[in-house]
Amino acid sequence: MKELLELFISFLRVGMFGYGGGSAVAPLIHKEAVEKRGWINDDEFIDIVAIANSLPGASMVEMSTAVGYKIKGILGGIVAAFSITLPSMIAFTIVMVFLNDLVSEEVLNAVTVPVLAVVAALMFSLSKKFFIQSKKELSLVVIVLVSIASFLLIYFLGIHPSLVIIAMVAYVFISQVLRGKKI
Amino acid sequence: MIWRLVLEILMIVFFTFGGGAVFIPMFEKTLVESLGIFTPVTYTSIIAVVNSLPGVTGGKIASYAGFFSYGWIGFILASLAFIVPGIIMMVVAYKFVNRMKQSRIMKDISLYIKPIVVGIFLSIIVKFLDLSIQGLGWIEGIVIFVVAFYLLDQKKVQPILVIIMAIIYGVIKINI
Repeated sequence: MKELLELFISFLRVGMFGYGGGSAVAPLIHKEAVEKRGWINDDEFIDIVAIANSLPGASMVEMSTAVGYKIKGILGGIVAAFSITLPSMIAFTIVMVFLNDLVSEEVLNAVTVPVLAVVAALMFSLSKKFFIQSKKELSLVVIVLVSIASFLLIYFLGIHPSLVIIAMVAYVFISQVLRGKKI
Repeated sequence: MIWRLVLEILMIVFFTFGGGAVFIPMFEKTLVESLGIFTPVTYTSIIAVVNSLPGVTGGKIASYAGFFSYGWIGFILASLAFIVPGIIMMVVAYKFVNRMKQSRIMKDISLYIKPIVVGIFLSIIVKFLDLSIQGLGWIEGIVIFVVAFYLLDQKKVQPILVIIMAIIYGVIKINI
């Protein structure tokens, strides 16, 4: 019961301050689930981000489900997924119904734009951490090449992250088959 | 009619490789063109607000469409239709990945997944930096980014605190 309550509080917090949607919310989940509560470690976190990016549907729902599921099974997954989504859905509906005439788009924009710069900084800090961790496992050249290739494909060619991940999985699979290793 | 909306939301969530940027045009097709719940003008004003509030982009649009057409019952059904598929897909995928965890192939995949996730993050970082520079100008956009990075990375300030600081900064700026 204590863990369910903690899942509820943590993911409620992420949902209420999760600007940008999708993977942009991953650093806040990292803060709660890895750093504060220690529910998962960095490797499990990366797995969860990658799985959520490879699946159809909303990444925020999926990332929170995985953390909750690991801690408290299906019930934990359900609590985490609803805590991260429902409050912002209710808040949005209330804003649209009651406050839409009071709040202008310019005002909302003026508040959002600085927040996006902060979310970018948040993601940059976490990327730096993963970059350093990755140096223990791969050579610097490979890390730079893979991360830059992944960035270029997604940002400039508009390729969905799921396809980049699938391509990498296919590459690993084929290279192992060619080398005749037992999978 | 309410089941039509629920079904359409289910279809979108189960078959769309997500992200708000993908959900917005998908929901426009469904909610404006096929179901006629919103007029094009209303939908545009919804999108203007949806990106300025925290939370799941597609979920906010879906649940509001539910409320707009069928009240709180519509809100509940639309929300469920949006959230439940993600829970099911993730539990299945998570179990599968963990069962494979000890295999050779998974060990190699987890080696390369970190730099790929870094690349995914970089694409969002550049997009958001671009948006904030467009809205604030070069100097202000970069200064906020650098100061925020210093506070988060070097000073280990709580992320939510820095986000609140940015909101306050935005509010103060409008009122000057």
